[in-house]
Amino acid sequence: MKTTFDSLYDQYHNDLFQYVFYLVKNREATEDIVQDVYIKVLKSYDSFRGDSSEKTWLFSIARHTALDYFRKQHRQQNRLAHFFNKDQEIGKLKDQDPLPEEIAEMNDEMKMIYRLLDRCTLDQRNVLILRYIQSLTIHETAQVLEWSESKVKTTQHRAIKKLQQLVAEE
Amino acid sequence: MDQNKREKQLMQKLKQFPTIKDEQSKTTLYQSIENQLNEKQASQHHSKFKWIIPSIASATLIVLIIIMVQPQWFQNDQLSDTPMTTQDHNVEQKDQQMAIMESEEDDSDDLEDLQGFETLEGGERAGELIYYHDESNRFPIFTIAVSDREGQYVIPISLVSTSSTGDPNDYYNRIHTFIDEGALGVRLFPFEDIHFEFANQNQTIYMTVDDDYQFPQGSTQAYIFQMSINFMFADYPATSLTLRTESHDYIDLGPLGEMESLEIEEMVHLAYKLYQDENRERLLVPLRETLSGDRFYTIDEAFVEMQQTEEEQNIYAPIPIDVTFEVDAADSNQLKIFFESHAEFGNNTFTKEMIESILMTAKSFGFSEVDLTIDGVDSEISNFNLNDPLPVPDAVNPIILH
Repeated sequence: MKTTFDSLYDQYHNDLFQYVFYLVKNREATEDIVQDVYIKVLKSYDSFRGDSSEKTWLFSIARHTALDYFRKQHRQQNRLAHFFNKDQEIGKLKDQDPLPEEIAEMNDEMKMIYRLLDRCTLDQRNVLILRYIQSLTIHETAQVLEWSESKVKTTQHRAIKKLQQLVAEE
Repeated sequence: MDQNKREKQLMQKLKQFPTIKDEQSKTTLYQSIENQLNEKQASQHHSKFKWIIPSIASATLIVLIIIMVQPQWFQNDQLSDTPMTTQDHNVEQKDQQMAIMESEEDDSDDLEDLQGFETLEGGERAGELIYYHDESNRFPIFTIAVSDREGQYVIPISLVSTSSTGDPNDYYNRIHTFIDEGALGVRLFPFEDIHFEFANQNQTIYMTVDDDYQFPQGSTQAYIFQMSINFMFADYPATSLTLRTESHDYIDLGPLGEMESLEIEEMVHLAYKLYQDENRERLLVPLRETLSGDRFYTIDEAFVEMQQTEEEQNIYAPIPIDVTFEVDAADSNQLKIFFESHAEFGNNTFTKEMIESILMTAKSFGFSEVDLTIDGVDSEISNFNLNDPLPVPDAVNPIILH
């Protein structure tokens, strides 16, 4: 198990951590999700058939695990909304996490884009992160998201347009 | 600037986002993963052999008898003050009190009578880390669980119900009302979001939550939850919790995933040490493994662990690290231990707490009694008479309910 972990970690950990972090934007949550990803991967590594690359398989599991995180977060926000009995509190909860040091050091425009990513849909965000921040190919992105390549292209096109529109509105 | 150019610039900017690096080391991450995987494997291993462990079967039988025969006279419980005495390793002693949640009056005298504890040298009152059934009344005991402040260890707490319906449904659905986290220096898993229901003569235990229930975040919470469940329900006939929400036959247990049932693991082969957060209550905390993650296969190994203090974790060794002792575990019913003399031994709280921790440890290894000899001390230590073998206790960390 240690050998498998070492191999996966050495090859993909930085990319995996970065992908999850840009999705959830919270370091602690990222650590938990990444840990869960490794547990799932190590438990099912023997059944990995190699239909996709190890990396896209790992990212695909990370995507599902992050999705579970968002579902839980959504339920928690619903509960909080019920507690506060006013929907406007939800919006405030979303941006509570401080900017990571690496982003805080960048110029205002980059910080703005980082924040505006939240206003894209989760699918759009996935494509933007995988294609541009992680530099995956269309084919690899399609494998991670379990989509057709044409859907990746379409979503990518719409995501860029949406983000550009949001930047223009700021 | 045309639209295409702006979009291309935006793509370039996205590519310029910095690398975000993990701050935890590879070793730390692997350790966490390994711990979680081992926990799950251990759970599967235990399930295969659970029914053949005589000690657990005996304990289950005892609880069944208690539940079946005890009369159901009273309707309401109130929690009494439970006096305890604490002592650090310099034998500084002070009286403290157990958590008070629903008490309106101090019933400590009654408790003293109930337990029959005597005054120790120096005039301080003895605390109770263990509990024996009263000979005339075998009051029902309900085990709940808390964790230490750091969330590393789970500590069982025994609710001794002196006047109640005896129905576990009445206790496990208000766990939070029995525990004052501040007074005990512990943390309690948020059980108030969970409803437990005992059915089919306690052979089935349902755990029900709201549809929008969210399992507490953080990787240690799953561990705390599983261990708490083990301590709370291991003595019942049910071997697993049946999980459900209002509309589903499963519960999302966070790191454990969506589960229809949760196995109740047996808690045996434990090393009981002392837990004390600052100057708060002293409690016995059971450890299932050493710091390096090794389980205790023999009671000798557990005793060696009980000589180790982890001050940063508020865990203290009940057995002095420099004492010489011999253990004879040849008789599966009676454990024999001989301690050579030691400066800390005497009719004092330190020695009393050592005996209490040894008795609980012996119980977890399936022994019924302990023949204890301590060189250089009188046979009477607190209410323990070392001339006779000491029976293992009925419960640990008692809180007496009235």
